[in-house]
This record gives sequence, structure tokens and C-alpha cells, in this order.
Amino acid sequence: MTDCKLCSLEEYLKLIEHEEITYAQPHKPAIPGHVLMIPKQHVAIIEQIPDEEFGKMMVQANKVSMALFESLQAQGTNIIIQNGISAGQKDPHVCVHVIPRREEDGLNFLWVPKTLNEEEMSTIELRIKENLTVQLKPKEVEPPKPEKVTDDYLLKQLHRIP
Amino acid sequence: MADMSPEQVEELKEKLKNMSPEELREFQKKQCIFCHIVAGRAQAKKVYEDEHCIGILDINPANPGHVLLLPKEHYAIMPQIPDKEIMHLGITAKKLSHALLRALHADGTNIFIANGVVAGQKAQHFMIHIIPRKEHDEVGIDIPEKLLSKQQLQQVKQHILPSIAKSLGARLQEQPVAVEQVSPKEQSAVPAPRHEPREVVIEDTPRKAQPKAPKKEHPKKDQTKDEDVTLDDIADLLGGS
Ligand SMILES: [Zn+2]
Ligand SMILES: [Zn+2]
Repeated sequence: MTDCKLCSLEEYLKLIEHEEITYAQPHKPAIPGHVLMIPKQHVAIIEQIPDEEFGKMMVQANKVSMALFESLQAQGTNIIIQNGISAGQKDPHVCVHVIPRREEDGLNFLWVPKTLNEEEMSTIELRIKENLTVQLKPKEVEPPKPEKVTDDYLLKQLHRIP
Repeated sequence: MADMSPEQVEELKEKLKNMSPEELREFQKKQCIFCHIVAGRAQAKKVYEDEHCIGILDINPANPGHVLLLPKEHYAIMPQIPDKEIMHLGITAKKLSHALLRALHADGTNIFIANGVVAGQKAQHFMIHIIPRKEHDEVGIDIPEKLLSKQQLQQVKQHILPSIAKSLGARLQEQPVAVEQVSPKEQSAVPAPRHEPREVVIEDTPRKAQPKAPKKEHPKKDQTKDEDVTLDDIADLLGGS
């Protein structure tokens, strides 16, 4: 997609291309050393990436994180994926953030915990379990069919990004 | 640990120091609540389980449906985990993300990993957070943006790229561009390609991350050496945060 900032890399400084991924620094990083992993192929949400490829991205994210530990003597790292606008995704193109951390770096990704009662927790547990059973079972019998409803909604939202 | 006397703490520290890596791992497992959950000795709302990992509901969720995906094996941080296992965890995280989108009608998900206390890691057992998101839910995982100059970006690039390439097993196609901080004398005398082999050699003896390492003085002549530049120095480029 020509109007996609992650395809054009116009706001990124490319570090290296390796296999299916471009590694780049955002011009506006959270902190110096912030690396973005951008699939070369334009994909909007992680549900569109084949399982194996996504698993490999996580392996590579760990390798980038290790490199930041080593080259920057980082004391920690965060690996963050924002999947969908409400999750903070800014461009309709999947990316993985790898961010070096140190004490008092001014970053804070921590959330305030929400309180749920036992019944609410149990309801959620059941709903997720049911969904996973549905999701996992058919795959053993037939090739996976992408589930449309939520994905379409997510994609539509992303296309609203100017 | 909170209710131990200083003497007891010292005693424990001494004991830990003398442990073999295997003993230390066993000790950590015994102390680890998530290992107890994996073994079924502690309660949790388990939504997923296979041979290698389990997914449980976080009891202090960022949002309802916040899942913690844990390897069954005890690892403190991600760099300790074999690639094959990370691959499996990644694929499972994706499945769980998909399940949250559908089961809870979430608008999106965050997949979040913290390596190290400074990154927000709270438990000694590695985990991947999968957090369902809805519009205006005020979960604070926003990634801030700071503008860096081209020169600053180039300097960071020159510093991290050789490590990243080596870690990925990738070949460097382009050389890091020399920046102005490099003294003019060095810059003209040393052709850029010399950087690569030298840095690769340095990386054969990887350094451990040193918490609270005192800030070192950097004599001018050493500024071309990457190993003298720390994250602190690079952060200093911003003039404080
Ligand atoms: Zn794109
Ligand atoms: Zn454990």
C-alpha cells in the first residue's frame, strides 16, 4: 500500500531487512533504541499473519531484545503489540515494538488493575474456554477458515485511520 | 521475604550464593506461585492448557479477560527460553488474542511482554500478557513519542545495528553511517567497513546487563568505541527525560 507509513517507511530509519521483516527506528521513539519490527508484506492485524510466521516474529523479537540488552546495557525490555485502534495501533500495518528499559527512564506501561468479582471472572473464563474449543476443534478436521466477524470489524476500524 | 530479619536475609543470600545453577532453579521453582499453578497446587482460572504452556486469567486484570500465558517450565526472562518454545508461545498468544476478540467482543488486543523489573515485570516466571481492549478503556499502554534528530537516530543505529544483525543471524548490507561525534581524525583515518568485523568480535563475549552500573567517564578518544556508549549516554542526548 503506497499510502501506508509502514510500507513507505517515511517516518522511520531503516536498520536492516531480514527474511520477512524490516527492522527500523521510529523518528519519534519512546526512547532511543526503540526498534520496530515491520512485516514487509502489508498486513493490518495479526490475525492475518499465518501462525508459523507470527511465532517466528516473536522469536525474532526476543533476538532484538537480547541485542538491546547487550548493545545498550539495557536493564530490561518491553515487547508490545498493539492490535487494533483501541489497543493503540496507529497505522493499518502490523508492527512489533521492542523497547529498551532502564531505571527512571520516564516510561510506564503499567495499568491500574480492575476489580472483578468471582462470578464475573467465572463467566469470562467460560466464554474464553468455549471460544477456544470452537477455534481449535475444526482446525483438526479441515483447513482453518478465518473467522470473519471480529476481524472485519477490526479492519474497518483501521481503514478509518486517515 | 518481607517478614525476615536482616540476619535471615543475609543467611539466605549466603545460601543462594553457594547453590549450583540447578539448585538455584529448583529453589526458584519452589518459591514461584506460577510454578505452583502449573503443577496444580495453587488455584487459577485456567482458560488454556497444552503440553508446554498454560493460559490463566490475571486476578489483577488490566481489563476483564486479561490472560497470562505461561510456559510450564520456569524461566525468569525471555532470553533464557529456547527459540522453539518462544515460537510455540507466540502462536498460542495469537490464538488467545483471537479468542478474546471473539469471545469478549473486544475491539483490539495488546500482547505485552516485560523483561526485568524496570520494564514492569512483577513475577519471577516469564509470561506473555494478552489484554482485550475496548475504546476508551483507559488501559495505559500508550507508547509515547519523542522526536530525535537524524543525527541522534544515526548514532543509535550505529550502536545497536551490529548487535541486532548478529543476534538475528543477518548479514549487514549497509554500513552504519559515521556521525559527527566521531572525532574527525578517526573518521578520515578509518574507513567505515572496519566497524563491522571489530564489533562482531567484541560481541563474542557478550556482557551481562549491569543494573545500577555507575556512569563511566568517557575520554574523548574513546568515543568511537561503541562499548563505551551506554543507554544512559544515549538518553542524555535528549537532555534528560
Ligand atoms: Zn503497510
Ligand atoms: Zn515459575
